[in-house]
Amino acid sequence: MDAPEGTVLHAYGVVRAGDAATLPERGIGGAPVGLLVVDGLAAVVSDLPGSSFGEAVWRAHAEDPEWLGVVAGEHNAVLEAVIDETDVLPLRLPGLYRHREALETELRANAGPLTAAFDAVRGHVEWGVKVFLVEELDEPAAPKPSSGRDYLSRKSSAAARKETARDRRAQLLFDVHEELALLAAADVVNAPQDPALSGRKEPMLLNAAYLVGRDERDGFLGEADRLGERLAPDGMRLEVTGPWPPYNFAGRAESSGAPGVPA
Amino acid sequence: MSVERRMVGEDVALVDLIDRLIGGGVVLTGDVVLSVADVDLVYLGLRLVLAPAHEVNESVRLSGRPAAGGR
Repeated sequence: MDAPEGTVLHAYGVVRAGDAATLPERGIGGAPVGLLVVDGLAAVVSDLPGSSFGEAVWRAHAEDPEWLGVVAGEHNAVLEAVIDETDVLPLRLPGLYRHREALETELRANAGPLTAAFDAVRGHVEWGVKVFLVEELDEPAAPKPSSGRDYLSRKSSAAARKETARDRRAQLLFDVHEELALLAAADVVNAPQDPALSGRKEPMLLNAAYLVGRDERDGFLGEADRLGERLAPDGMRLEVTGPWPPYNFAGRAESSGAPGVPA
Repeated sequence: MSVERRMVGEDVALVDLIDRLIGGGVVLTGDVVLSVADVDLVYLGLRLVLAPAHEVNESVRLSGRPAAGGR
């Protein structure tokens, strides 16, 4: 069965066919959301008009933050509606397929790795934790230096203080990550986000993700709060986002078939 | 308040979406319309569009514990 004329097939993620996933009614661009079942797996999909979301439109808007933000937000919203109760493997954007058979073939070819990925995330969701340096402490105002030598010695002791503060922050961050990782089935520390993309000037010191059991949400968030309080006196702020589909933990199921052929 | 929680669905930052939806997730290639290499270019392009190179001077990469699903 081909996708209707003039449409592309967009895949949001994969669920187990046996799970009674509650799908939202509408996805990207208000399109209906459905399931494409292949053996024990089911892709969450929408048929999208090619004129609004086809390949050419993607290419034209791929560097357009506004367009991409809307599409990514709607893609994520569909998965978000599913993860409260059902395990889901999120697919990387853009997930466009020419027709249903193409996606069916991929699902069949990757049934092994996808099933293994489900086993790895079973009953878990992802939480993001970031730490920002919101204020650089320990810079007391000093009277004017009385001599060049005085100036130099002050400068070097200020540098030493700064270094001590940095070492202390590094240790605190390490401890915070360790404690959160203890509550998680898996964890990953990513590169700090580019301030250009985040639009935030404060340096990002930690950008981590944790795979946490649905039942352990309160414990994890409580611990994050406690650790955030511990960071505050050193000028750091901890921020939590989630629950996310396990984007950072489901990405091992690479296609075993031929590499992708761009159109 | 030192801890901020932003629940997904409230006000998700574009950078968080991009990080996850383009940087993470399962890749099923095959007959996908845009290849993964194209997407990496998208990400790179987006960075260039949004701003000139910035540098995060102090960032801590934690390496004491092997990330379970690390790249």
